[in-house]
Amino acid sequence: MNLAYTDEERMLDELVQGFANTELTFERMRESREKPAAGLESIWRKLAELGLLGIDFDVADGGLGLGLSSLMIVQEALGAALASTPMLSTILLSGQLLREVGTTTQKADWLPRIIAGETVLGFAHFEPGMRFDWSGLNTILSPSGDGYRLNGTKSLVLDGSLSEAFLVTGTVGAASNAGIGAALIHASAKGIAVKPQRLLDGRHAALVEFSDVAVAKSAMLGQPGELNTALESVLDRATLALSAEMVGGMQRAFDMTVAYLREREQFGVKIGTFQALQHRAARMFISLSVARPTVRAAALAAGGDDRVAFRKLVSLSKAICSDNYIHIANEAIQMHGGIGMTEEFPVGHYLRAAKVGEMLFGDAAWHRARWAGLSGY
Amino acid sequence: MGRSWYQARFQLVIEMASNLATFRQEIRSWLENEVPVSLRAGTPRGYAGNLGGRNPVFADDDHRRWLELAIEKGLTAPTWPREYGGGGYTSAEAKIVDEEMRRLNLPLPLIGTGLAMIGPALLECGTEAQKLEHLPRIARGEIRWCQGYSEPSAGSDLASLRTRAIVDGTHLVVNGQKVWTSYADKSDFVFALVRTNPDVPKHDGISFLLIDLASPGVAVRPILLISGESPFCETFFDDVRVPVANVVGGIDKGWSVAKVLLGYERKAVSESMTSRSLLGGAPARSAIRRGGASQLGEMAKEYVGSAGSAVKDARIRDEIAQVEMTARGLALATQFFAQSEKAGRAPGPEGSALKLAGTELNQRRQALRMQILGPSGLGWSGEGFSEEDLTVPRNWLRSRANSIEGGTSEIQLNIVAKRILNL
Repeated sequence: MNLAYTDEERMLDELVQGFANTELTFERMRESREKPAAGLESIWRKLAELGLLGIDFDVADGGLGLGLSSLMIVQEALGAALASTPMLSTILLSGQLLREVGTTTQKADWLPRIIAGETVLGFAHFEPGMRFDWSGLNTILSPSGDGYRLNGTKSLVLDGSLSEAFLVTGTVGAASNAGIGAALIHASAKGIAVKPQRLLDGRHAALVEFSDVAVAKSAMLGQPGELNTALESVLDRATLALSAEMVGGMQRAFDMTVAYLREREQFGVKIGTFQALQHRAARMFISLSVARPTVRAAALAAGGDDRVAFRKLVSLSKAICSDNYIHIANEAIQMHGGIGMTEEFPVGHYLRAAKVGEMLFGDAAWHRARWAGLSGY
Repeated sequence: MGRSWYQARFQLVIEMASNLATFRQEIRSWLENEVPVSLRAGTPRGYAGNLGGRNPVFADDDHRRWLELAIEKGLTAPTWPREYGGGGYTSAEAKIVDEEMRRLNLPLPLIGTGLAMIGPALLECGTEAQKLEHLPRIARGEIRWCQGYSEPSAGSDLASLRTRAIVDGTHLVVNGQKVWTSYADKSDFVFALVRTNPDVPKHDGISFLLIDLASPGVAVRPILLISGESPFCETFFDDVRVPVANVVGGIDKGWSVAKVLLGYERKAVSESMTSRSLLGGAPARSAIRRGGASQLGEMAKEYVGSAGSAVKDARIRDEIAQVEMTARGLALATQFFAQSEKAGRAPGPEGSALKLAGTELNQRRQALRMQILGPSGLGWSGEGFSEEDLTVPRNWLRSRANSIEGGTSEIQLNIVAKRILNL
């Protein structure tokens, strides 16, 4: 396994960096969080125009077929810029579940529009009170006539307030051993209430309530009750994409801090000459250096046959990124001093992103427990 | 860059890949057919590996045979040029050799400071005559080397060293004392830093010298550590005569050679913390084999108990995962740095980051093993303690030296701050 970028990936990296430098400014990020519709126009559409939303979709579905490792390059750039985009909700969660288990009609209806940046699809999976284990969903898809009735409440539905439709997961039938199914439902369907949420890093999400929503058979994905494996695979890939975003954030917060140590003067000298701060900055470098290769290794293993090895690498990268991003973001604020705590200055915002990253899709301790289980202890 | 550029490049990749596939087949069948099968059973307990030297000690005849075969095939120093006793393999071929050896669970045929540190430094900084004289003897395991850097009053401030060397015709006359010279009592040569000019800034008056420890005037005394034993020695030089031809890099120009060597040292040390290395891998050296399963996990199940297939104590289970995952992360970071840098370049300052992290990981691993043993780990000698009970505390105590030897952690942080972060 070669962890260095290939020539093609290096070219993609240059393209993405160029885009990020001109388009993904802090001011625009801030604006896109306040006016998400404008953010979709200014960022999401442009990513689509560059073809970047199709990187991890098959050529047959209108994508580029470059694979997950290439998409990680985009994710790093988005994380570095604190860009709030529907990448997780629409591309990695809803889009990938459609790709894995969607019907031919569903794919034809949605994937080209997803890749073109024309729609946002919410992934309604997480439930109030749930931590990281999703084996017992309280949302129920009960068989009814030719289709199903959907009842339940989903929370932290990323981009839920902007979504045209939702992919909703639920337990099929009421039996305790029933498996998981998923349905694709328009946000305007009868019985759906979408209540906007904001996350602590400014991301837009929603609480979505489903009250006896009618679900046609054609709206179901794959074999109802047998989606556990597909869902785990999709969540693993999304977890990894989140880790890549976190690496980008770590890198930027670290770069800002080192630059600040070189320019800020106290006691008549640059504060970067103080050994107490040098050593802390050196430890930030170590935190960062260990994180990126784990993400890269996991992304390269995504297409492989060894599923256990892939899942272990996903947990490895998420656990390390969760711990190390918090470490770097905390240190970045401390070394900036008071200005690091201000809303106006970018660096403090990385701690907010770090915390959201840490808690989505399993925190460090949860992923360590998963690693231990997969390792036989 | 149009399609033809890609096509040409793609063609090249295919050709290289098919040549390498042939090479892999050849090396695989050679290893399978020629190397004694007993070598695949893992390193015998208490045996670090083939270290060579004028008076070599082998675990058994098969280990001796493995070294002889490997020398013939150029596998002890695969990437060194053939004229210097190496195998002349490309780095891609050497990687295949390593992978195929691991596949059969074969130990490295030869390990030690010669291959890991002074050899690469001589390849980079030595004269043609020095390379021809010393490298083949290293690659054939004929000379065992040790390092003479630290002195009683020159630790982290290494450049303040005081061992004197004065030119006298065709020789230098060396007087002084080195400390922490690992395995000096078992080695044949020491590479030492000596002061050849006391009247210039301290870095500008140091020479890098190759000294035969059999020379008259050399005395070696082992040092006992709190871990009960140690590889360390004090080495004394009393009017020791060393040929001027043994100066590497020129008189008074030894500091740059010293730094090149330190880079190789850090690389070898950090590798030894996460996998096998030319210094002998820590896991193979200190761990008691428990099949292919997680060694810490199985050890914890034995001492702490299990709940189903999991370790009973959730806190210890989490700590094991932290240690294992940090090890994997560090191994990947090491690989990432190696594959990202230009081939053939000497190890850069990121080796300092890896050395620091690797040694802290090993300290954490040893402390965890003590925690797993609990009161069973309190024994030092006598009845009622297993071999593991008595080994773990010694390794734990020994690991405290990891963040001191080879440059303290604080020095490594200084290097990262200055040379990577430019602070």
